[in-house]
Amino acid sequence: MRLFKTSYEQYTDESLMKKLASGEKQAFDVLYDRYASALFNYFYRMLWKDKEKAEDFVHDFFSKIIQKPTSFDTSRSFKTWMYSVANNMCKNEYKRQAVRAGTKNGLEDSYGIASESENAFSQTHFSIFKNEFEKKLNLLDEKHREAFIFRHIEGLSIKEIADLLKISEGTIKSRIFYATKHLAEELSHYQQEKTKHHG
Amino acid sequence: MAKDIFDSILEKDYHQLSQKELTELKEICQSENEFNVLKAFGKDVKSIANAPKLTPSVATKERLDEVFATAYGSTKKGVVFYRKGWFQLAASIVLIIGIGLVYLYTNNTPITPQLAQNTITENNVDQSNEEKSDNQKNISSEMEKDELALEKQSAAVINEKVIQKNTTVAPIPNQKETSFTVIKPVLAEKKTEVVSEDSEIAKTGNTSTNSLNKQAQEKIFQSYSAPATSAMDIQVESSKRTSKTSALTSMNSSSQNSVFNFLVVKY
Repeated sequence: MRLFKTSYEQYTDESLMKKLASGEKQAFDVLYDRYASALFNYFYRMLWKDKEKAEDFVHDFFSKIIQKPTSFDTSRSFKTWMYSVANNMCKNEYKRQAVRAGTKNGLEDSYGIASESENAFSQTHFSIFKNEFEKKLNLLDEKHREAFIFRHIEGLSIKEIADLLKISEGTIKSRIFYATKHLAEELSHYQQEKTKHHG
Repeated sequence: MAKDIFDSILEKDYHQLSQKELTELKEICQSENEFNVLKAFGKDVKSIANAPKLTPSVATKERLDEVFATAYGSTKKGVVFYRKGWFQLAASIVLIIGIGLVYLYTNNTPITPQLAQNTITENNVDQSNEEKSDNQKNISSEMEKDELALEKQSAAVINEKVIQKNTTVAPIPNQKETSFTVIKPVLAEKKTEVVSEDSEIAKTGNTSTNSLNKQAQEKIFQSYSAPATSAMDIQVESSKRTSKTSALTSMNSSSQNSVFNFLVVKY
């Protein structure tokens, strides 16, 4: 029995999940502070930059954790497990949207892009690039996009991505290669403009 | 996170890539130009990834808190008393004070004097016993010396008187009785003195020698201060002295006279 209380910030994600399962509110608060923002941004990026939807997905994810903490296997990495669950939630949303609109992955071709594209040239180079990047990223097919986002945006390793998607590391690497090459080629004219401007 | 080929693209120039990395990158770039495009793209993507992130609204957290309260209630909100901050602080203070008191108490308590006295007493007893036995040995050796000296002295006096007897005229008949009348009280007095000394010894518990030789007696008195071993020893000693004195009384009158004179001179 530990006499002196250890700060919850010092606990690992997995330990916090155990404490959360035993009803410790502080464990939940720390977990939320650690991952709510990352998760929100992930949902925001994966779900067509819809803030409200991203908020709802964050709420749904943490509600699942609260109500059914045992669904988390403590032998696994929480971060990997979290993205795995989030990714599945996105996939389910794509299916729902596909059924509703009859579009590929539920993604409307002009979703959130047209209005932003109009003002693209009035923004700085980075903002232009960012907007174009988001647009091209969303146009990628799901398996390449998720691999690319996990690796380059969320900062997961190839091994972690392979673990959460339950795919071999070679396949993940191949998907990331493809997505990277495709996006770099699509956005290469921005790089050339950038070089000219600096030159 | 373990570094992979994408980190190499961002960190290295094309000519810095190892053969293994070049082979690995062959799938996406075959020239330096292509590599540079990938590198520039990777840097921009990293900037996007590192850009300030959006945060969910406070309302989302509040809704989740409600969900938590519904799921677990408020039973787990309370912390066990011994894990509360104020209790831990109070316990720490009490512990520090307690340790301090124990430390002060143990450091200020003197060693019990009784223990010290006992040690000293034991040493003294040992020492006095040793001194006692040493004194007894000294006494006995001194006594032996005294006896030898006395015997030699007596033998010398006798020899002297024998020589005188052979060379001088016969003594006056009445002189013998007179001599006895004179010497007897002296000897008796001596005996009484010895006895009185012995009785004094028995009373006080101190040992002393009684010798006919005053020098020896003085010497013994100076050196012997050890307690008497027993009254029996004193009696034996006194009887020895008495028998020697009696031996002197059995001498002829001229010898007695000489002895008397000698004793008068001595005493």
